[in-house]
Amino acid sequence: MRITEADYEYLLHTLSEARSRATEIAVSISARVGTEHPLAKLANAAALKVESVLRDVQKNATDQPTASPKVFDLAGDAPATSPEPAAAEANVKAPLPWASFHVEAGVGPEHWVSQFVDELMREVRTSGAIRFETAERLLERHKQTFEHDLAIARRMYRNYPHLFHEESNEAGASQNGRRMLTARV
Amino acid sequence: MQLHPRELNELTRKAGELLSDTTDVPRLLKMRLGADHALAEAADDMLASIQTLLRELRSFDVSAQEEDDEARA
Repeated sequence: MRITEADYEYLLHTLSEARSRATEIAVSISARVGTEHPLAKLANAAALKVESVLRDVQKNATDQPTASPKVFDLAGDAPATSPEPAAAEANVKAPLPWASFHVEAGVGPEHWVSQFVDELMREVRTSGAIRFETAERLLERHKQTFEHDLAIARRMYRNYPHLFHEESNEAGASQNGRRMLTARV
Repeated sequence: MQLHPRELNELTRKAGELLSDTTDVPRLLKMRLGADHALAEAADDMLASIQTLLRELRSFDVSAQEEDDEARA
């Protein structure tokens, strides 16, 4: 049995929420008792595991076609046919010809739009069809991830401003963080 | 710095919600992919980690923490 699109929606939503909550708990504990405290280590380990499962589910959602019914190909009336499994696997692993998209668009490879295009084109290569549902699902996921990251960053800055001030004293550290935030917007 | 009882209660409540929100994740993955799938196992591991955190938060002794600090001072 395969994972359906509804399952992916549930998993991605639940795990995104869990990641925010786990990160918040870990940051709160570390701020009170220090990062070396056993409680802080347990909280960090839990947050990392949630993050890891979320990434695995995201990867699974991108790499594997779901169990939902196929929709029609944009080019014609016939339902899109899937390529042979071996060919599909080779396609997923092959280098992407649009890898320079981020250069042309003037954004970094870590920018969400570069990752969105990469994931969308991989999906097209795997399933042999462009589907609105796929594009919508991928875009919604990137939007949710961005909004969660932004909310966490804002909450952390509001609750623990001293951590950011400490960081800004370390050479280049704050520059990197700011670059990461602006790169995603 | 220390964890105060009110903060500890709040953290324990949040960890409890985190656990109940994620309880169904390993169950669903096992049902869809099988219990031996790496993703189902990772989800099990994640849930166990959250359970451990919640257990430790529930058994955390705030007064012992204060005594430790006094002893160090």
